[in-house]
Amino acid sequence: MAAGIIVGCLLLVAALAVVVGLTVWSRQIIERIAARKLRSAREIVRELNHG
Amino acid sequence: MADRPRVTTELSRDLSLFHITMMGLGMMIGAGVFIGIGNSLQRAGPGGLLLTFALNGVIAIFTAMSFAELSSAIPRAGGAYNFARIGFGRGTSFLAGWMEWFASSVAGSLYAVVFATYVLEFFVRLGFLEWLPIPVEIARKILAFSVASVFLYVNYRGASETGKIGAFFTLGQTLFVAAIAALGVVTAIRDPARLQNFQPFLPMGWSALLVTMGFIYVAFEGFEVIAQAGDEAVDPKRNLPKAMLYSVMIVTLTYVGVSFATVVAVKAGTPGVEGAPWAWIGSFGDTGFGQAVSQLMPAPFLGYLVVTLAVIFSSTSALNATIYSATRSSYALGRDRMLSPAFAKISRRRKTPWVALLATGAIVLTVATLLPTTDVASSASIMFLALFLMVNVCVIKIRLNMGDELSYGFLMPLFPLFPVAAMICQAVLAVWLVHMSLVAWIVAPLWILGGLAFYHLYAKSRAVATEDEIHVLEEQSAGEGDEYRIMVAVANPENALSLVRTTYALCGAKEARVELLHMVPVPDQVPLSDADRYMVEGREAIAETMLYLAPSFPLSSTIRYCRNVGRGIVSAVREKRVNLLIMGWHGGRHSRRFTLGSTVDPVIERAPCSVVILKNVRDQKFKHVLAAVAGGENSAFALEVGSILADREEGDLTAFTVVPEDREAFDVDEYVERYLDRLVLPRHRVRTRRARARRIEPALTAEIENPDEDYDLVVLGCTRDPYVHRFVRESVPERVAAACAKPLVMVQASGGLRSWIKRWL
Repeated sequence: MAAGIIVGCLLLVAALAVVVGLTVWSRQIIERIAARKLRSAREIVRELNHG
Repeated sequence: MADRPRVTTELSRDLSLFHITMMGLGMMIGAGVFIGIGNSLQRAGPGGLLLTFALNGVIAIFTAMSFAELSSAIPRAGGAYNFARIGFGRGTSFLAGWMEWFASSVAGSLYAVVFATYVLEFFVRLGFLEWLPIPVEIARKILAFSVASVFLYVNYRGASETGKIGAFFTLGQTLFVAAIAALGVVTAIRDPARLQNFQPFLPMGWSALLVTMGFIYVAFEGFEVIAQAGDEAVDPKRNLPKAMLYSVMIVTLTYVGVSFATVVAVKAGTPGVEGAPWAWIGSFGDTGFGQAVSQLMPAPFLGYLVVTLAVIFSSTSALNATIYSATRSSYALGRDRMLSPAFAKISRRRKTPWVALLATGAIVLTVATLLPTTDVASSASIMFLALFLMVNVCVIKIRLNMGDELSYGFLMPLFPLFPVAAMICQAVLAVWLVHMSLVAWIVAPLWILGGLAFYHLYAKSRAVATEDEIHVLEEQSAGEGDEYRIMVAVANPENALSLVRTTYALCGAKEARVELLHMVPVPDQVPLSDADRYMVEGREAIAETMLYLAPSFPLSSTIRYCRNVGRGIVSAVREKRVNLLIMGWHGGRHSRRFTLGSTVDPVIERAPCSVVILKNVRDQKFKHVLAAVAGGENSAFALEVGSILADREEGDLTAFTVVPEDREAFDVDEYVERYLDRLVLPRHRVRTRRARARRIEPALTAEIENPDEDYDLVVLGCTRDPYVHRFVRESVPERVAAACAKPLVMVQASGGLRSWIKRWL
């Protein structure tokens, strides 16, 4: 039973971390695209990968 | 007579990030969470309740990222309807808009009924309605009708009023729900023994979790309304994606907090509470949330008051947002003549689409007052899930097909992991809804079939062309058949003549039927109706090519206009089920973003057929042909094409390979023997050469320029690097091809899973 609580709590924390983490990461991408005036998908992927 | 001044009307752009975030939140924190908490506790237990909201939040954020990417690139009213139109074309987009209109309207009527139910229930508990001369049920319908009418008028007042009034209500509801969550945390800190309420964590097991996730998913539909505000939002490329992601994050954290508060609200052993607290709360079903929250308050009356106020705020803001969403869906259908053009009429005074609003109001009021809402709401959920699934497919298809043309404000990371994961989860949840409501699985297909019939009888012939579509201007067909099909993309008369001999040789070897294609690129500023003026060169080029090829091969020819040549060619290849595409390449590139050029790159990446690209190949005999091989299907195709193009009388073919110093030697002789049956040259005129070097590119370039061999044609296979990899950096064959001054042919072979995926996408 204790194992169920531990797994459940870990899953809960992981799920919330994914939601918050993806939101923060996406916001950074939006700001970088706006700041560098990037347009097409090819341009953005290339720029973001080269940091 | 002087022209009369044209009066144009457009939607006002005055919704800020705050307004559109609140719009999404308002639609999500509706009735679903209040009804769902008690039921989920009953079915999955206390831990299952928390996990239900948290895991649904993960699925919602995946889909929100797809909506965010698409709405940042296509920020127009219509949302999913627009995405489907660009991704799949008219028929699918009509269905998307049709489903979204119905689903949002019915959801709106549901919220009106929930509002009326909770408000009347509160007054009935206080004994204030004993004087009513009519049954409570009729009073409920009248109240639902009234509140829906009020919000229809609010939507008529304009986008700004809609957003601002909606934002006010949403702020209120979010603060109420957050206050309940905070009260739960304070209670748990003051009395830690209440955390024992989470024992057992998952009494019904993990399988029960899937059931409650499907049931609760309705509480997460709403962020898509933000996409509808594309025409009215300030700085939509940044604000639309941000608002979608923020609203999903806020709502997920709020739901988990409220769920926690509900579980710890009841103290074990309290008089009247039988069994485990979570089971006692769950036993109340729909009203379990209210029962639990009333225990948190010093007096039951205060508890009921808080719950009723929360429901008033949430259901009204959700009602406001759903009316907004449904109206914009039907407005977009009218704008593109999929519905009557009257739906696109905008009030000059209020700048709102009043006819679309009137039609939406008719559905909302009819369903709210006359029809049973539970099953119809379930069918709306099925349609929302189908819509979300469609949007997740659209985001993949549009990124691959139009990534170079659209201007993105947001691009999701780890593409396409998130949309694929979301699609799988949504399919599972949609299937689960069969167990929830059989009627829903009858109503939903009926509405869809009705939409299909309406589309074929009315909308299909009236829909206006959008700037994203590709149109056929002239087409001459040589008849249908199952033979091998070669398409030649002809650009201009000079280009046409240089392509002819190569095409002639390949046609002879393949016994093929030839399709000539000329794409007419029309600048964005030029109306498509004026495209004829761009056709002159195309007609001339096709006429010359036909003159040369027509006596020997069955020919078809097509002239099409488009906004992007690469996409137009891929589209034609897919429609005509072409086996081999031949096109010319001028050898340069206008932008550093592309390896071979803005037309050639997309064709190599996306064409679902074999491709042969010619650079500097003129009408001459090739005596010494070099084919670079490194194993794989592209190298075999390079050998085959090289043998076809080599002069039949005197030509020879050299299969050359470079083996990096740190790798094992590649047996080029064995490779040639394996594919010998595909070569048209006799074995003794096919030679093999190899070189060992640290880097492939300089060794290959040196062999091409080798004066002793005097190659007059070079054949290279395109890279087999993954699609995403090519986005990031150029590959060796493309770099060598770009630098090569000799006649050069680049080839890419089709076949296997990769070609199947390309054709499907």
